[in-house]
Amino acid sequence: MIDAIIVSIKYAIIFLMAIYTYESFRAIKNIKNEKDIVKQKKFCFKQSFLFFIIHGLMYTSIYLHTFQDKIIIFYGAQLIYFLLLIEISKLYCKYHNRQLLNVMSMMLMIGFVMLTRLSIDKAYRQFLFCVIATIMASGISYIMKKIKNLREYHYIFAIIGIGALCAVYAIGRVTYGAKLSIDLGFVSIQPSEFVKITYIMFLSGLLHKVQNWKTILLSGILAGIHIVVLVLSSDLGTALIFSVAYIFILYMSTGKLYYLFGGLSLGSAAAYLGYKLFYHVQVRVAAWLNPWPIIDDKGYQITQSLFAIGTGGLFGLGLFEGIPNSIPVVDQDFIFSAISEELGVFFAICLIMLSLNVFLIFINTALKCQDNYYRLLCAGLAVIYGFQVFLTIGGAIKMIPSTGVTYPLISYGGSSLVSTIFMFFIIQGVKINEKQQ
Amino acid sequence: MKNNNNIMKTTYIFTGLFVLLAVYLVGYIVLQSKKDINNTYNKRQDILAQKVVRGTIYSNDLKPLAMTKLDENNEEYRYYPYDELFCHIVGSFDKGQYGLELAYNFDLLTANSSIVQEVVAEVNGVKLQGNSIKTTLDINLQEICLNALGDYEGSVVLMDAQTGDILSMVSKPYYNPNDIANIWDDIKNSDNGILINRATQGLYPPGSTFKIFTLGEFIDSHKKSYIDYSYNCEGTIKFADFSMSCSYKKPHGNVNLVNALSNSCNCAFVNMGTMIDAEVLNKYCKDRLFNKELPLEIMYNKSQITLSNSDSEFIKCQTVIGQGETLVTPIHMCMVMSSIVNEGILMKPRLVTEILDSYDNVIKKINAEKYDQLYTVGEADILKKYMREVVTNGTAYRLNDDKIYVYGKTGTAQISTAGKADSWFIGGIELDDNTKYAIAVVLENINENTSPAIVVTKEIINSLDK
Repeated sequence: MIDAIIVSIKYAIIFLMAIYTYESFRAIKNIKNEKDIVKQKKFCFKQSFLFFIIHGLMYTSIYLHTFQDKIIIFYGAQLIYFLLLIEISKLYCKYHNRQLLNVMSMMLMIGFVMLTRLSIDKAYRQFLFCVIATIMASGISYIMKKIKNLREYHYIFAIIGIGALCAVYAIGRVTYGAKLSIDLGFVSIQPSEFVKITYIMFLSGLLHKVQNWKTILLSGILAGIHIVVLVLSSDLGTALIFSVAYIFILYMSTGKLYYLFGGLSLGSAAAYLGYKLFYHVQVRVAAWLNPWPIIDDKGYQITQSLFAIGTGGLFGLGLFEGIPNSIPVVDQDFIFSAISEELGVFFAICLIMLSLNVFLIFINTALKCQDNYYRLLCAGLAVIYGFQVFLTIGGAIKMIPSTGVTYPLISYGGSSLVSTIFMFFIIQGVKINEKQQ
Repeated sequence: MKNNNNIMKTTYIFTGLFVLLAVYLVGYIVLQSKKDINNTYNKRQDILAQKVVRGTIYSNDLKPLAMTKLDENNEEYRYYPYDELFCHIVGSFDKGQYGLELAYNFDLLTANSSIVQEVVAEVNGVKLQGNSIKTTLDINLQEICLNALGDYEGSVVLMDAQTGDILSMVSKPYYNPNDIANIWDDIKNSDNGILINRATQGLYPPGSTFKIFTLGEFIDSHKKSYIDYSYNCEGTIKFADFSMSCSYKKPHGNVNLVNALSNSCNCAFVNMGTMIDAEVLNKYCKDRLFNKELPLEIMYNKSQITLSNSDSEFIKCQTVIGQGETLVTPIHMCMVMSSIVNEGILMKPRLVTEILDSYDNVIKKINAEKYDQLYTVGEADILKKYMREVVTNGTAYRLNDDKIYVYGKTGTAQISTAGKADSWFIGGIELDDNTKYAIAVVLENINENTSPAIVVTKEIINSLDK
């Protein structure tokens, strides 16, 4: 009997997720009149409704596998968090973007579910960080409103960013061959996650006005210093994201295609140089080209990921029915494979589409901006988010070499979670301050 | 609003990247993933086994060799109707996996069902039926080969040279896979390698069977003059610091290439060896699959030869008559022989011809295919003629039969145990109905100076005639 319920829930989740994804795309629409606003509200209500059903089904399935009371309590806590998030936003911020809030909740929830399944202690930690980050982030739109000349402080953001990265280089702790985090005793933080935001703020602050060759050269030098320090710390995944973000922001602010093509060719040359210089880049490229002969060591992680995705198939093995923990670092770099294994490729494709949805909402916000600074800020954050998602999924499915970056909002990791929530709230802040409909 | 245009272009690029991810993932699942997950490193086999009933392994006439049955408690178990007869090649399943059970594990655990069927079965809590495989194994021939081995330990491989079909593959000592749970402790503690499939994994010194390679290379490098080769065998050939002898040190007198092979004259071959470049011989062997991966789905070892110009004269002399460091597997020797039988063309050894769904519909056919050309038609012809002389007039005279055309080469390989040796026969068997077999027989630990491999081969040939 229980088996039958679990299986039914599995298929119900896939079905509802497909509808949810479809509705999310229908909800992105330019609003022209009052009728559109009513329609939009209907879509968002439907989204929330589906969200809470999927959330409930997921935790029912988890409970039916574990029969632990703490699961129910944890679910209850999450429910309160998500309800408060929606209701408080409705009450205090008339102009917030409800769709973005909905999709963010969905991503967070998928992360909580997968972490509950992989390691419940990590799920607790993740949830705690999420609550703290949300409380902190709720002040963002207020700060953006009060400090009008935020854009003038681009030098300060550049200095903060470079300083933080240098600190990691100097006293950082080494994980998987890269210097990533600074240990503060009670908690260790990964500054590069936060520098992603200051980096975009500095670039959009510097480049939003009419540019001359001096500002462009200056932006190049400062961005270059960020990237070089990251490379020195062997944090090559983040260095790659920063490089790509710089190229696209430069292109979007100047409209000169030769920046895009020149930058991408220069980047390819740098990537080749990195391949020649760094042993662990060579390892990852070798594992990408053909992992099967080296399945015992270098190819182990990616082949385990492919086994997980392949064995899971279109519908997945079901929560707790697979063995996602056989993939090394599954809760960070390879969370997508775990999702695909247990919830299925259909679900995973919905997740890819939802990530695209997030990217498009960021872009949509940018397009509607009157203020060029905000426009660049939103578009820059969109590029950071979109490219990171591309790298983590592409690496997990062996479309590109694995770069060791995490899935924003879903992978385990406090710094990444907090900084991504900040990013989402900055987008909300732009929308609220511009009073966009 | 001029920037919006650039932002839109950026959006198109990123949307393209996301769509690419989704398309790649679907393509991977549909086209590639089934092949990838069929891997011993994938620990999810037990998970699949909970959803799918392991399929059947059939003989070439669709008799089950391994099947899933239910016991009185409705628990599944694996049943092998022929007990020990196919224990190595079909393999076993319960305590680690071997043979075809391992090689085709995921095919046996994959159900050829539509998405709807899968969903319906899962919702109803019913298991799907896994696919079955139809092998090339012939129950009758397998029995003949196993019986012919009698009390000896060793291996027999019998192939259809024109298709590459492996008709029989026997390895002894053997065990009964139906009992594996009960006898597992004995098997684990024994040191006779009972789980090893000697036909593909057993590495043996080739003894005089290696002479077909020495002879082949000699002919190759003396294309004009090999016909005129002659040597006066005095039973022993002396070098500065060592000497080599024929068996019983019996002088063969004046020999040409034909009777050097048919009498397995060591002295003549050592003499030929001095006229061959060591590295050229090494390459000649490499071209005939020494030190190379074989196109086999089951576990095997590579045959080994190491011969270079820097080796001592003694090592070279040993190597050309099949002693020394050289080691071969029976399957490799059988494959080489099959290409000589089949006008130089080596067909890819085939163990499975069809994959069947639960209603025995063929869902995949594995066709016979050419793997390599090991000899030219001319070379194969000459070697065949010479090896025929071994049967009509030489060391394998007991295989001479009016009705069946047999040719081959005998071998006795000294091993480290004093007075003991491995006995070999490799050859070709051609019947009136144009069936052409290649065979390799090796028996372990026999008394030196006997050649029971010929007796075993004789028994197999007699049974083939019926």
